[in-house]
Amino acid sequence: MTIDTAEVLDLDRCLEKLYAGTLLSERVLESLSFKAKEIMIGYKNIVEVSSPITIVGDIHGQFYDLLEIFKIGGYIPDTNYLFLGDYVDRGYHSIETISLLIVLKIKYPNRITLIRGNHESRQITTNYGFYTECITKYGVDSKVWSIFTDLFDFLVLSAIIDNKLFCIHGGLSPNIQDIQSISVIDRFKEIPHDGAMADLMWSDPDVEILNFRNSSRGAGYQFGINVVNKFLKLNGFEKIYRAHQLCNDGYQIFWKGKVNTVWSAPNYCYRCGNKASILEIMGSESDNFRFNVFDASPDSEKELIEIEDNNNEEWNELNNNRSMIKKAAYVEYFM
Amino acid sequence: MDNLAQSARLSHAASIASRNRPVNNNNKNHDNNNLPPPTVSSTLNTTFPISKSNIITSSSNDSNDDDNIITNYKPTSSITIKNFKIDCWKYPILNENEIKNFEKILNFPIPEMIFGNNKISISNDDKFNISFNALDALKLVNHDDLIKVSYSNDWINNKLKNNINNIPMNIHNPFNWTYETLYNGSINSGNDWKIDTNDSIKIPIEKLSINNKIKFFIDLPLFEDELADNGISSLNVKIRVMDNCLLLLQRLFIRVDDVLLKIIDTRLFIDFIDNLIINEQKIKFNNYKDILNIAKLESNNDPKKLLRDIQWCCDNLNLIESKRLYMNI
Repeated sequence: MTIDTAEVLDLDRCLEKLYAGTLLSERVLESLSFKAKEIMIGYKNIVEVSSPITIVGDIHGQFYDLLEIFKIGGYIPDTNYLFLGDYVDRGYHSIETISLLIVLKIKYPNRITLIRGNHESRQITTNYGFYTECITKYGVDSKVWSIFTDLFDFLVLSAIIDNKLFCIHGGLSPNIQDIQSISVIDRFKEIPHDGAMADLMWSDPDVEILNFRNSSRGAGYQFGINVVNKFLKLNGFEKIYRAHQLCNDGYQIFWKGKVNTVWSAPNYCYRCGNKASILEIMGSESDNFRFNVFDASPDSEKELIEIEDNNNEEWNELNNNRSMIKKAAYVEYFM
Repeated sequence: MDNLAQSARLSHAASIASRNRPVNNNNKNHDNNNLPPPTVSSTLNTTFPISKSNIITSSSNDSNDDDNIITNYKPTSSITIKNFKIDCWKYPILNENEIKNFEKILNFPIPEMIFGNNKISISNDDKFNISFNALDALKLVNHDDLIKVSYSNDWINNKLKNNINNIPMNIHNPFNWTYETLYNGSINSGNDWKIDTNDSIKIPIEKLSINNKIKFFIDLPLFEDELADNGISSLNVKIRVMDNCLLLLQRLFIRVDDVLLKIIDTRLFIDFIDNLIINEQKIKFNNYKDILNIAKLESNNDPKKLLRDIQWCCDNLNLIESKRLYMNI
């Protein structure tokens, strides 16, 4: 892991570094964050975009799989992208992932839209790895985690494609009948546990039910087909695209396509063996789209093995050559 | 927070007490004095559950379900040493149809990452067969005492004040979303367990030293669920096979953020030479605040990192129950 020491903001240089997997300096991240906020503060909670556009679901710090997405889906600015959130936590490269997306956002603001996921939150990132990654890579005195989590407050809540496809991270909310109620949310804050803003990022579809149902966990909702029909009809939408839930095939279709999950982290957490997809919407005709399904990048697996042995410095020194690491049979004298 | 942690703790104790359902006469006069004293609270019933019912046997259980689901898959690795054959199945998470089959059998939403085709099976001709798999583990999830996420009270109170859509406040089909299970393997043949009442049978650590070379090792996830970002529940099984014995460890790790942490370890030890089999289960528990305080002593900057480190948690949680079964074949 190397950190670039540049102190002036040069977007092309940043992109070059990030595509090569190099981290940017804290100073640069601070100016990037400032620029990104300047752009996003002007956005409404719901942004309107048009096809052709490619929708990407959860990434969760799987940076090498994000690079794979650009490889198969096309690079920005040649392809328009809508990301549905959950850029950080769990994977080993949350900082690389969010840094790259932010630089792309600043350089090509009209080519990439970033929606907020439930992991773009101060509380969740202390529990699921992003905070740890920040202080591990930048040191305990660094402000990198605050720089990013402050920026997360500016991310938009939802997007509408061609006036008919409604896109969010999680799902619908009993507090939201028409999209007007999304527009009036004050989004510039930590994600609350409760209310419309929380539901947009947390709720899940459930084919077993008709209306809203309280989750067994004692907080949060599942929503059923009646809720979906009512919402689509009232707002004149055709479909809902969302992310938030792992699916083995990389996508999942509910109610004949009225609600769809797009999942973009292949071999999730480096062990699920699942496929991932991006959804390519080529035009505004209803059937002009496809789920482009892909497997984990070959680099992803190598990075796991490297990390697993990270505690053993001797081992790391011996195995700077990644191909050697792969060959070593792993056994554990567990008790 | 204090009250929540406390109530979670009490309901935990109650749930342990409620599991004391001895199934046969072997359990009489049993008093487990050799175990460390339970540290939970006086409401915990100190006689530990010696029910064997958490071992699934083919007679007590419709194993056809499992056959339908798993027979399509071949073992991905195997080894035979002495008369013991170890087969392992390591596959990706279930697809949509397989998930539907599982939910039909189980009748509750299954964990988000479900490795339903993963399995470790150990057999000795017709005399003994035990396997470890997710479906059987989930069949033994106890749905009696359900805990809630830390902010549940606030959430429900807000809803009661402001229930604009009249959503019913009761939970439809409540289930144990932490997937706590006392599963310790599925016995298909040879179920002659004896209970180690006087702590005379121990897993022999000397046979498990680094000098006893590992011939075969595999580490398999069975399921994992992030509890909708309120923590984690993960069930994992790993095995190492040496020339003269094997050790299997199935570990269930549950962390409900701001509520509790729990580990249920099941160890299976088999001595190939004298055909001794030991099945040991240990339950470890702390409420969240207590274990976080311990973590803060070690890592002031990032104590929650330690709460994600299962081995650290295992070393630091309080042992509250343990039991040991054994048999000779």
